[in-house]
Amino acid sequence: MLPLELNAFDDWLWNLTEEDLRELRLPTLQRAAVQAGVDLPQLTVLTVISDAEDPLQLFTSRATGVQAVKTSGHVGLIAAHLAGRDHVVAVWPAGDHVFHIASTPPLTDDAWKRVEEGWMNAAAPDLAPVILNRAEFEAIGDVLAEHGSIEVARMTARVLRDHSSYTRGWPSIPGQARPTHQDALRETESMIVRTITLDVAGVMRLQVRRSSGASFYSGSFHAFSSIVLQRLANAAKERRVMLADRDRAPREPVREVLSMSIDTLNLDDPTVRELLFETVAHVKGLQVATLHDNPYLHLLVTDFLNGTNFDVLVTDSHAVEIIPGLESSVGSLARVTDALGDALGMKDLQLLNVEEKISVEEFFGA
Amino acid sequence: MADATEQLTEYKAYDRRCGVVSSFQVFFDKAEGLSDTVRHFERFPRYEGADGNEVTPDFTVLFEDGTLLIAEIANLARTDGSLDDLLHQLTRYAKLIEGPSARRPHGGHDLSGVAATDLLVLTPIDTMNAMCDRIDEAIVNGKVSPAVRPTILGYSYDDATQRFVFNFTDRATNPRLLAHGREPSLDSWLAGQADTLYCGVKHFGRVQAAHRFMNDAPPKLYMAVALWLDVLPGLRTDPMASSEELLVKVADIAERLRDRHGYGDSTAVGHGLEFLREADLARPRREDWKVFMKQIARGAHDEVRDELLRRVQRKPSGAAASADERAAARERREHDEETRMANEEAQLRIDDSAEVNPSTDIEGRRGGS
Repeated sequence: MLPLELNAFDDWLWNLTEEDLRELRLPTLQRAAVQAGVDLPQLTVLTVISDAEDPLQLFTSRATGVQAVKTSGHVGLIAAHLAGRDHVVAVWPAGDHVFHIASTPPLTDDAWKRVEEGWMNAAAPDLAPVILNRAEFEAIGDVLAEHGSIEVARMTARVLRDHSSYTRGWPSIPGQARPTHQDALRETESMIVRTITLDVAGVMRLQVRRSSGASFYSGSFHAFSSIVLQRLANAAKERRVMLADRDRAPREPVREVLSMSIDTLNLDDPTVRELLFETVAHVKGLQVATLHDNPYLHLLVTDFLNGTNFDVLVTDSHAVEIIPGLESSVGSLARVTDALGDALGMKDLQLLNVEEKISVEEFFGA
Repeated sequence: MADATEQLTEYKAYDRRCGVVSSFQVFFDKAEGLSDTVRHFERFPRYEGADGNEVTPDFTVLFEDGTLLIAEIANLARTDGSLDDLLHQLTRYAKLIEGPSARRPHGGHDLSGVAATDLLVLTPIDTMNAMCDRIDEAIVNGKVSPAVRPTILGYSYDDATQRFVFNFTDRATNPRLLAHGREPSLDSWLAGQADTLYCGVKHFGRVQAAHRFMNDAPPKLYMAVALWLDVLPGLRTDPMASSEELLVKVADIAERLRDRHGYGDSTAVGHGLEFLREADLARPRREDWKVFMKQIARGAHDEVRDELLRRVQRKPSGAAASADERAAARERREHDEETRMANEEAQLRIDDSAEVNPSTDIEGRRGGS
């Protein structure tokens, strides 16, 4: 291995003594760095759930660019050559099979894209991000507002009707207040908000992403960790519980379904059907066949990466049902719910118990 | 080989009949009240009739009162032959003195004696009246004298509300279904609802996902899709590999299907594998099949059902393809061939080193398509 050429923060992190590494914790990362005379630059984070193995092992065995690995009980460090430069990618366990993957390249940097796309694809389906539902996404802003006046600097969204993109920035002008996150989100009816960049007065500047990620730009990393990352971890843990152990029993009736509520889905529109289909078919390893496609849609989906399968059923314009198969996996279900949620503008994802008897009214009259 | 349109039509017709069975499974297994009168709904009845021959109605319902309802989904062609076949079938059903009474742990069902047998024929709404007239005529003319007269219900699918609609008519003395004193019953439901019942996709779709099949043999394409996506991927030993060769036996797959969904017929499995062979994805060997597993449909407009059809139809006997399509097909063939050669070579190396039975080795060397 060639000597690593790291930025000051990564250099400090990588060269911590064994004892210092053992003592290192995520919430106090900034304090530890500052005590060593190093600034914490911006940090990009992706929160993921793991089906089985530690992401560190998955990345080491499958991802490209990995140079060396160090680990303590509380963090795993990967020195990697990404997009022409050396970086340290940290894997912070957050409990219950949830991990924060963090590194210093900005979200748009090719190095981070290698991690978020290339590495995550390589680790699929054992590792998967989890898209936040609308309430979880908005709640992060609500909690941040309790810590200081909150202003939106920038917001990106996608318009569900025609899939056009929406970006709006609010420059900081002295004496002129920018909208709060609630004000900004009010303007996004029938859009799926993907990122929101916030200034929490006197505390920090950060970005939260619907796709289970966040960026720390400046201010108190402790607050970022305890508010934002904690929320992302909790959402991921809840999602994992929802998606784990969902195997159906053979020849038994379906007892539970994953129901994704969405704003509206017009299945009479061929482009919408196409979108739905493409969304699933584009996820790495997934193979799809149409069992029925007029007018309701029933897809049989198999994850070739682990042999699991499930059915996707669209029965009305406000919900998509995912019925786990006889063998199911957290990673496969997470990847498909993520893809569908992102494309269709997931409002909520619920595990519905469908064991109860059906009222006869369902079979009578209009 | 039937053309693509014909194959898709068969596929969709089978899916529709699955939907009809699933709707009645919802009524009898899941509906408040009605399900309490049911001891066992059997989606895959198969047993020996009084004449020693096998019966395979489309579904049966054994009620708590010991009576049995036997249902058949039937299309009526204009020829007398199709009516004769149906009447013959119904006459045999009417003589049944046993019915499916419970599921067995790994497929199949138990039987128990029944107090009475009733017959239900489900037919598309556009042939319901003709069915009533012609069955009545056959009985009046003494052509048949079934021990029990069947009740005919028409079915249709309403696209706007996404639900099946089931209608009863008393035309041509079509009898109401006997309830034998049960309340509620399918007949009391119908009588109170202008002889019309509905079942929405929200309900029957979930049943469909669990069972996939009905009691008729599925079309080849349908079975090929089910094998490719539901059964074969689970047999892979190295899912992370981009392709893998599997050696499978028809009987084992049929058993696996029975275990998973309750239906698994060796002949139908054989037809599904045959379809995969025509798609260059499987090859029969002396005692088993070699299946070339890989992702066959990727990208924006690709899905497995259509891709399997394309692969079969692109054969020289298929419809004329555009130059682009031919080029794409050639490219795909070449790519597939390369993958296969690479796999076979790798396999041969393994076989050689393991000094396996020479006959297997020769089989392996024969190469593709």
